[in-house]
Amino acid sequence: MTYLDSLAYLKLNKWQKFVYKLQCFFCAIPGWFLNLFKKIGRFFKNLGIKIKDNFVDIWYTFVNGSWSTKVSFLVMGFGNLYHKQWLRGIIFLLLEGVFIFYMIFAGAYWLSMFGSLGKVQTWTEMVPSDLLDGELVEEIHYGDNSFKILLYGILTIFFIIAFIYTWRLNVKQCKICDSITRAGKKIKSSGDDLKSMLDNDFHKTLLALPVAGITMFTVLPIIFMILVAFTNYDRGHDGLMKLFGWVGGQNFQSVLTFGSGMQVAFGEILAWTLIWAFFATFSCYFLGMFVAIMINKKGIKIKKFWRTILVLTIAIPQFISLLYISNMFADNGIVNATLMKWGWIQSPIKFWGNGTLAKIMVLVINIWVGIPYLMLITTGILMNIPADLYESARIDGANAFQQFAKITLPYMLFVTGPYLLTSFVSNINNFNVIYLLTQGGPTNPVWGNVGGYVAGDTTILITWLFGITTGNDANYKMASVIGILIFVVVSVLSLVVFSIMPATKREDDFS
Amino acid sequence: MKKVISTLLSALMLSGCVAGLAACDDTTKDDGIDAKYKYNITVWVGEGTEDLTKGLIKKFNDENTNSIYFNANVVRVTESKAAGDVLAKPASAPEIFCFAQDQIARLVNSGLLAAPSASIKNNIVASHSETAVAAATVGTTMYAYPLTEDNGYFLYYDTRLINAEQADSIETILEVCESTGTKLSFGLNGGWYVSSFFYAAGAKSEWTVDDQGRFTDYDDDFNSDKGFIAAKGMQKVLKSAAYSENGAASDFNAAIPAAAVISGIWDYNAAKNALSKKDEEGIPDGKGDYLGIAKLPTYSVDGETYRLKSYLGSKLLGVSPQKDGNKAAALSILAQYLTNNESQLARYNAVGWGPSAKDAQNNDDVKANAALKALKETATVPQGQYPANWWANPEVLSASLAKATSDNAIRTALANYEESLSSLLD
Amino acid sequence: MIDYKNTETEETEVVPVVEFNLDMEDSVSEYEEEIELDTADVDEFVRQQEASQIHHVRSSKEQSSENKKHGSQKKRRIVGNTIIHIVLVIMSIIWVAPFVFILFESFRVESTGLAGYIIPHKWGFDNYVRLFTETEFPRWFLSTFLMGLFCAVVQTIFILAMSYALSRNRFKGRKFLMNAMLVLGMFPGFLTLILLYTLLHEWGLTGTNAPFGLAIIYVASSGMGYYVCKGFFDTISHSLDEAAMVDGATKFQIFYKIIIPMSKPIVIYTILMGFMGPWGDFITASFMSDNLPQGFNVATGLQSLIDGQSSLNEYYTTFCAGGVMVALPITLLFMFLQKYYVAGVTGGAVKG
Repeated sequence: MTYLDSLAYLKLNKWQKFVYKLQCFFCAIPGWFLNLFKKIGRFFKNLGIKIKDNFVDIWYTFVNGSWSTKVSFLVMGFGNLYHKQWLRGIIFLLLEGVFIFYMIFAGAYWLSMFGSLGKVQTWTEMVPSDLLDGELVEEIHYGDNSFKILLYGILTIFFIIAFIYTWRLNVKQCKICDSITRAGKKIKSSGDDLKSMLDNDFHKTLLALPVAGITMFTVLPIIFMILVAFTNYDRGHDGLMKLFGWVGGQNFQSVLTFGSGMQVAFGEILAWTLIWAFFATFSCYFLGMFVAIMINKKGIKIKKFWRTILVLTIAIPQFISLLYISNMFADNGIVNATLMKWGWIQSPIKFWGNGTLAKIMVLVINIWVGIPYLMLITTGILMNIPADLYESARIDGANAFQQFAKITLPYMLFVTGPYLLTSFVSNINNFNVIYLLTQGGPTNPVWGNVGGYVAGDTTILITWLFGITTGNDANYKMASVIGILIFVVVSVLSLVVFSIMPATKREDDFS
Repeated sequence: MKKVISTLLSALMLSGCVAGLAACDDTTKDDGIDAKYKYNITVWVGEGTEDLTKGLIKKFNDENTNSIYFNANVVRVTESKAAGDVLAKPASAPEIFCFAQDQIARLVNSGLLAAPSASIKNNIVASHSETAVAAATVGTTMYAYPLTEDNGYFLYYDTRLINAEQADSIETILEVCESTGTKLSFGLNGGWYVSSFFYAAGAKSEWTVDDQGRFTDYDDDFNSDKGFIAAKGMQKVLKSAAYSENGAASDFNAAIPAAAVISGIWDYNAAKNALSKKDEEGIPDGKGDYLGIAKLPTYSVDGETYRLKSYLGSKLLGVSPQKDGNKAAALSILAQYLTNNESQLARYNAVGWGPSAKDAQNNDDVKANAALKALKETATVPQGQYPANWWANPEVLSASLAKATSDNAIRTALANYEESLSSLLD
Repeated sequence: MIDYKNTETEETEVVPVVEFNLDMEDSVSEYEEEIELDTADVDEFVRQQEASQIHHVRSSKEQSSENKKHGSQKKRRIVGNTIIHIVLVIMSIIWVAPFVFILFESFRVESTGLAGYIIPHKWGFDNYVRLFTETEFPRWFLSTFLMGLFCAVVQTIFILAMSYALSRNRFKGRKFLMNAMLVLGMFPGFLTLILLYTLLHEWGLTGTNAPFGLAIIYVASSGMGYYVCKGFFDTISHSLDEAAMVDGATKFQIFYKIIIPMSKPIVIYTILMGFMGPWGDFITASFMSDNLPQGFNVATGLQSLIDGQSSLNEYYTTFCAGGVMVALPITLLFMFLQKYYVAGVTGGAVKG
């Protein structure tokens, strides 16, 4: 397509402008991917260079370093201690001690088993028991536990990487100490370290705990689950009673043949998941904002009351309120009974029995669930919009809608842009509303049976996965494979959205 | 703001202390019992039987003071959920747990059930009904202790709307429901209920399982002319405006009430309460004045009538494998005690569960129980072992039949059902 | 993982201070007094603000000197507000209906299972009595309440820390960190449940100790929910930081003394969300509890009451009573915090 210069662009009417923008958007898509690949390429190139540089640097640090630096290569923190940086030195030393201790007493074992995920099977033995007059009873002897081996193996690898990083930091610091001493300047004392923790390095202090928590409770489990996709971990091989082991890419291969019609089901469920996430996100977003604007409007009485009413719905746990609503709309529920009593309908409406209707119902009820949250968030942000912006807009004769479109919306989009994206992602993984209302039903007769796991018209990927992991025949390996597939789809999609969203690019503009 | 945060913080600390103290009194006290074999155990039992089981274990302890003593933590876990939880977290499985029989093959396959020793097995075989013993057996080995023999379903109906004669045929039931604006509540969205139509027409689905709990073969003719008849019959219900898929006695109380419900023994009290005379305040007398109980009705296709048949299944008690042989022996003695004649009668008296022990079955009270009588008449298909994922197949079949409009569509649905079976073999 | 060493090497661009509110100063002084006078009584404040708003409108009208238009505009506003009031009333009815229905159910005495009507035939507190005497609800309530308090405090600290660090500092690895957290959030969470269970089981934090384990799980990854808060921080002008920095304030002081007080609405929102988290969680909690009543939170506890057909018939109304009891603290908390929330919001708007 041809790109217009700004003069030509201004000549277009509104509709043409819109079409033009749309064209630009789609034409840019191949560019993003090209960029993405370029970026990946550059990343690896840079990585290589970095690694090389690091080794060169380590070598020169050793060759040119003082004797304390050389000792530090073996005894971490020695350089720091030598230069009277007690705090750093002791921490380094302690870390090294703990690491060596761990590796000797646990790490080495886990790492050695990591390749096979366990060798000794759990077995039973018949032994005579006094209680039954010497009759034989079963006694169990537990063997290796594949699950734990996998878990602690990953943890050990984590520790090793962290240790290498710490060691490198230690070397770097020795180098800095050396060069400062050579220049004849004063080395930072422990007191300075502590002070900078609250000032220049304050962000490190702030991030330390949250990032540690995320690493332990999100990153580690995710890596674990990704690795599970390459094992044969399922109910038949639970790791404790029966070992599981590595199977390579076999699961990815068999996911395509996993039950008849796997591809169809996956496609259908994926499509509905995306539709659901899109509508669930934007309906709640705009309606929530709308409600917040209404309540905040000048001249509206008892604002507190309206807000409290809305929050009541958040206050009741979803598993109670949604269960109740689900019953209300049942075939023989109150809604149908009332409508029939009023003579509006002749026979009950199957709110949950009809695929399309059930889809609409979950979306509508999700609005009911979502608006209060959005109202809470947007109230805070709305009131933060400088009042004189509206003032001047009003003087210029802008009507309410124009004010919304030109001031409120851009501001909101700016502040909540990233939130919109995360809420889209969390809606893709929004388990509660779907599961509590429909359990994914009504069962789809065409593609509803995938390898024994039932899927229905409102099933989204996450509820489907739930069935696969907790059903009578839990299949963790397949669940991980599907989890990874979901993950890939969602992340590619979000990255695309992310890259075109204005808010995330101009993070600093609005302040 | 500061105030808020500091208030919250101090409240947190205070409550932390309280929690710490509260946690303290959970520590198991030494009761000063001096028994040779003393064990702390966890027991999972079905809803409503916690207190009963606690009492039984106490009685067991009293009777065995010289040798065995159990300090038991009795916890309520629904039978349908118990096996799944044991399978998901084998490392923290309870010592004894109550589960529904359809899970036994999976549990055996994962090695999570300790088989009773020879003498105990012989006792059980001698004293329990054949169906229940078969339910506790996988391949040729008995792996569990039969607790009940009452997992089946029959017909509850409202005698104000339906008379005994009408209750004998599903067509007349539907007719009455449609004309009175009431419902027939029947859980035809699940395989357990769907099968009733197929067994009625003479079709069957039987699976062969080996000693390790693996499914090696199946004999299934749902996709046949008999199956076609069953599908036709089922369609009548599925397509009726009076059909409700809930299948629970609480539907008698629904906004659009049910006139007939097909459900099991667990719903007996609920059905009785729902269909009782009520005083001015709406409190039922609980006698079940309007409750009718009958065997499952018939359906007719092309002039022939077929009587619906229910599965007859059992609840089982399982014992987890133990590292200590004596503990395993002690547990199996306890499990046998909890499933013996007296215990089953006590359970029947407390919660109405139908016994599997032959003597208890012959008890006069048990024999006179209307619900158990109806169950006995209509639950004639011993529920064998099925692969855990088999149940999804009839469910999808039912969804297909609800939409199928032609005979061809029915045939296709049945063919799809058959096609999905082979993947279930181990 | 993240190299904090050379913070100055990249992204050192001076943050452009585009002032939205350059000509705000006048109006600021106008409102400021009022806020100081009466922050607590929000309604009063809002009314005053309205009054001054009308004043402004009037002054602009004088410029255009079109009195007719003024009249019609006023009329239109009244009509508009009436419509909004009607809409709000209808909405409130829809939103509050299920809650009221559940409340009614909880007072039903004549039967304890599901019922086909809403208004009880006989009212009474029987279900509440049962809830507190027959079940272990007090214990579940207490442990959930404590978890809620813990989350409210720790999660708020985590999120504020994360948001401030990402909003106000440009350090190496920042973009990577943000993208990583975004991507991590896309992985379907409960696949990892089985692993988290094993971890906590190793530490003895499942079963009876499940509340402790749950508190850790809720809090540990909460830093990933920084988006709303960071967005808010982004709108606070950097010129304030710079001015404080010139005065010799450390970053900690800026955070604690300038940013936090200005972010009341978001802080309170975060506290509220943190407190509410544990009340509704069902899947994680039931996984960690090993079915032991001592390890339940309110959600799993109440669910266990109606798990199974005969339990449902026996305890459904008690379950509803439990739901009402759970809604109580959260509603109270909100009513209590709303004062601060709105005050913080309006205050923030003025200070901008």
